[in-house]
Amino acid sequence: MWVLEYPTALLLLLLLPPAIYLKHFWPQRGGRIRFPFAIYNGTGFRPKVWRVRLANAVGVITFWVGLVALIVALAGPAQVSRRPVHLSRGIDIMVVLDESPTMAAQDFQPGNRLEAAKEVVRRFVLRRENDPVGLVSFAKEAALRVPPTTDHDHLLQALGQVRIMELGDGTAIGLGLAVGALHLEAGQATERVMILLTDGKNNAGEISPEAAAEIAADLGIRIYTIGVGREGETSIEFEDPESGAMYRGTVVEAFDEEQLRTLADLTGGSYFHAASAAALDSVLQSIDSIETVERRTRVEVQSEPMHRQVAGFGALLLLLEFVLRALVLKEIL
Amino acid sequence: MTVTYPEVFWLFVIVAVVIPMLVWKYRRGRRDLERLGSEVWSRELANVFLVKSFFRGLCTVLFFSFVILGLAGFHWGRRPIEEDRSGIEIVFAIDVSLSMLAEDVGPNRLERGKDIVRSVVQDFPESRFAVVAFGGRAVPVLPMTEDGYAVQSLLSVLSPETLTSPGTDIEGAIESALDTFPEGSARHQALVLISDGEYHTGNPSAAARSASARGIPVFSITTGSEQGSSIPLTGGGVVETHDGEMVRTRANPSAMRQVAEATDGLHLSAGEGEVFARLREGLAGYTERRDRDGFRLASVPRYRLFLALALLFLVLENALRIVRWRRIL
Repeated sequence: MWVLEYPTALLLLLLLPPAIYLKHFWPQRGGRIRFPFAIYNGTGFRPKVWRVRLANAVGVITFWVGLVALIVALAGPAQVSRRPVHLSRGIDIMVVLDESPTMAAQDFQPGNRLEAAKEVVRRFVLRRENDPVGLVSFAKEAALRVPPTTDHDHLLQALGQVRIMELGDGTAIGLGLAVGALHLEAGQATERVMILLTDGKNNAGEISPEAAAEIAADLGIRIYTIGVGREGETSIEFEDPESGAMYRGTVVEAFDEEQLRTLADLTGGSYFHAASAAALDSVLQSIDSIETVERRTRVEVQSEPMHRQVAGFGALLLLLEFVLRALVLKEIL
Repeated sequence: MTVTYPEVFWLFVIVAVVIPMLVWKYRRGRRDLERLGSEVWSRELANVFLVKSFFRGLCTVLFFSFVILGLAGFHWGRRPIEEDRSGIEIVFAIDVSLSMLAEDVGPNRLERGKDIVRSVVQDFPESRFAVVAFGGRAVPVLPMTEDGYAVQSLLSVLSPETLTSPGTDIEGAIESALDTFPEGSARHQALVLISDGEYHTGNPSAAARSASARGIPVFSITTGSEQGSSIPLTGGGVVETHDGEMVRTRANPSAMRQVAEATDGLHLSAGEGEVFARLREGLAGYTERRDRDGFRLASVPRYRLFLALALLFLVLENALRIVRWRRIL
């Protein structure tokens, strides 16, 4: 939106009509030599050099438009934008995502469990505008991908780069939760939440999931556990990121529902089972609605001054007019 | 008094072209007048023509000059701008180019810089931090976070191998750091720039202008000495040119100082012993001052004065032509 910082300068525009009269129509105006184009009572002749008349017209128009632009620039034109500023602190959320080979199971569409999970997490993150969200992924090892941040673009980019098997073959739920808890602890949020997405049983890592959950409970972190996948046999297909080899097969392994329920209960969170991508989406939607926090915002107005552009445009037109008068119209005075 | 766009002064070349054009126009005009009015042409008329041409030319030159001065962005004086913020967000822009391995400050420039970052992270526990690594290109490697552990673990892996593009682009680093500040934040914002200042691409002062426009101070820390040093390689030996000559890297504190001054920040040399304390005081002082006052001081743009003068001379130039002064005087 455009605004003028000093609109009173526009009053100068009121002087334009008299100025135009004085410059072009006033009988007493100077800067010209009178020359009769007609004999007394006879028909006159007019100069037919259309190029001169065109140049003259262009000169007149550029002069007045340039002048108006300079007056507008004097009024301080600026482009303002309004944007909300968050005054309240959001909830710190850590997404703990399983990237073990079984996440390649194709019972979730589109793609596989991991791709579906990435998509619903992406939509979840976009709904948590003011909340710092971080990402931990785990398989045999666990790694912090992104610390809790409100820079969601950065987070989503990192989320898109999560690949099956990058952290080995295994499911170290305990390690994933421990890494997540460690990095949530570093923040100053009063409300902290972890969202665990897994499709397997804990079979790797030095820390048991229960021990990690107890650490989290001590830090006041609630854990929402989501068991992903349909029961029964599913086909899987994925590429080993190191060797580039394709793996195909079937998987029957399922997550340990009892354990996931315990982890949630230990920390005051909840357990969900998502048998399809749509179910997973609704699970995250319900977590979104459980974890709410008061939001206070203020609107900040930012203005970017545009007078240089306007003044530059006006000066350019006036320079053009000067050159036109001197070189093309061969003005004498 | 500061000039935001000194490069605009090049436009005075136009004025330098306009002046000979005016002289040529006067000569041609006089010749044409003599031809048109050979019977009534007199010394007196010639004098009137000379005087009018001179003053109109003067007004034209003054008009273009003042427009150019108006476009140059003169600032002087300060005015308060209300700011209701608390807490601080700090972006560290760390130079990881090869020259940062020089050992003219111990243990080397890069490690010294990392120590400075670590000390800030410890000194400001309730703050948010982000890290941009840069060489020939700037890459945000850590988004704005309160997670001090993440900063620490990132620092341990930063090295010239982090980025493959050679060179040092301080302008890109500052621009990228400014983008790293999240939108809609209600915290104070500061940028800590750590580099030897030896830039190969970009124009640091252009980036400093955008930081200044957003009211973000740059605390620039020059690592390395002006005497310079060779660059040791991890496998032994030093960096050499193709001809086998040793490459000597010299720190360029003046570029770093300019960035700090243009943004009301602080320039420090990583070599001095009190750099940690002075940076801490600088950052703390900045937030305290803004918190207490509830406003920041911004310099006042003065373009309107110049534009008004330009308009005045434009009007005068036309008045000289339109009004027949001899009838009035």
